[in-house]
Amino acid sequence: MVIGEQGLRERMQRPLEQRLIVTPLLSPGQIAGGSVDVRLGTEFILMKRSAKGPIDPINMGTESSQDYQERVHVDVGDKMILHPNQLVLGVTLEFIQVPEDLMAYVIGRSSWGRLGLMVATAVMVSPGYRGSLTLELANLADTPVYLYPGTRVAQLVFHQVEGTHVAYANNGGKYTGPVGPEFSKLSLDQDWQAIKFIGRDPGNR
Amino acid sequence: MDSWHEIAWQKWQDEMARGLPEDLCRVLNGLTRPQQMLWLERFIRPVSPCAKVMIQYLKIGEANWFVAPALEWDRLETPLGVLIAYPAPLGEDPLAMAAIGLVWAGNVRVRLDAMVQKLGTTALFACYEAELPYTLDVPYTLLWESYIHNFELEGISPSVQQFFTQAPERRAPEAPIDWGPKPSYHVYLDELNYGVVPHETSGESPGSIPPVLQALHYVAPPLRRAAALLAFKAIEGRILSDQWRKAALKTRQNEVNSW
Repeated sequence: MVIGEQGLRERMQRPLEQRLIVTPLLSPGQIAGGSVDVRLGTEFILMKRSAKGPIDPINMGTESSQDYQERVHVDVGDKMILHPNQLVLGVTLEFIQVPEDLMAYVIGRSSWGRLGLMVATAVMVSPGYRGSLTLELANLADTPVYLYPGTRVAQLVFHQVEGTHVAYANNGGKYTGPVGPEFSKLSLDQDWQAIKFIGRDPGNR
Repeated sequence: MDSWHEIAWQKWQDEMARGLPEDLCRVLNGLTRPQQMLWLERFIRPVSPCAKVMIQYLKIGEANWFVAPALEWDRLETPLGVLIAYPAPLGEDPLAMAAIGLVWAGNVRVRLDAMVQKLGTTALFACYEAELPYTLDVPYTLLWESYIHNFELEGISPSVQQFFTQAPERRAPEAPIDWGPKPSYHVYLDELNYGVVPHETSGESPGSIPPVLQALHYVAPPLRRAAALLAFKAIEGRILSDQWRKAALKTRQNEVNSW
């Protein structure tokens, strides 16, 4: 069930532990119908072409991330260029707390999509998530496009979660509480231990 | 004729100054060579977003403030503007960065009063959190005695007390500072301790910045650094919301005028 505007506003008034938080809301019109508009924040991670080698997700924790990424800050009122086929990690201006009985989908605005801008790939926000949302921004068109912090880039649609579930924060979630964009933490996945073990075991060859 | 050393220094200076704002270059050109080198080396590094936002909030008057990250607090005033350096490791903490306003004010009473009007009692805590050195011309004794005169030791930790009572007294007796009431910060302290950005239940940012700064001071050490990022987000939100409202008003006025 999608939570409508009245339900969203009512949940924003609840005690802190159960509260839906989306802040700062720069204009009241950001909550309308059954969704909350979110804006592009001011922090970005630019992906660089590394001279040292490819990204190896199994060793990402040990390599210096400086080799293939650069953090930049762009003030509201300034702009940043996104070239064709370039990927940057952005972040929502808003900090979000999803109550433990809700989850949300991030849906890119079609107006941006029609310019070739893809806004997010990790489109589901888990129950109990707390923090700003990292946005994967990619320009799929052939023409460079400017990104302006402060613009509405996506919508959050909240759904009721039925039955028992484990909230994000208690589920070993890796992205709790950031206020800026976060680089991939793929290397923290438990599965790597098994994959490394299988690769080293001669019995598997 | 210049020695090769002179030429090398001049080349370095020209390269470093490339890309700096013109009004900053004018200030730097008026300094002695050692001062120029010291400040140039600081200004090639970007100011932290938190320091930038705090300067937007604190700036008073028409004179230029030029702020740069460095290893220590420093201040140099010229007729063309004030140069302020802050310790780069503290650059993400809005309460420590609030001290930029006190460093600007120095011991000029009219500036200090204006800054206290902006920051309220958090001006006192900013000095402590920023670890302002006693060598700076900041009226520590006046701040401390005025606070005690108004509020006694309410809300003061032993380390804050120690910081101010150890400061060397360097002033003639003068009227105590008018602090105004202490900000009401408990709601924001609960939010910071819980791990979320301080906010109103409407989703708006807190209406005023000093209560957020005051709440940040009272967050316990293990959470303090992470809480600074949350508090910064709330302050950035407040400033953006005000700019947004102003811009929306201006847009509406322009529409009416053009109609």
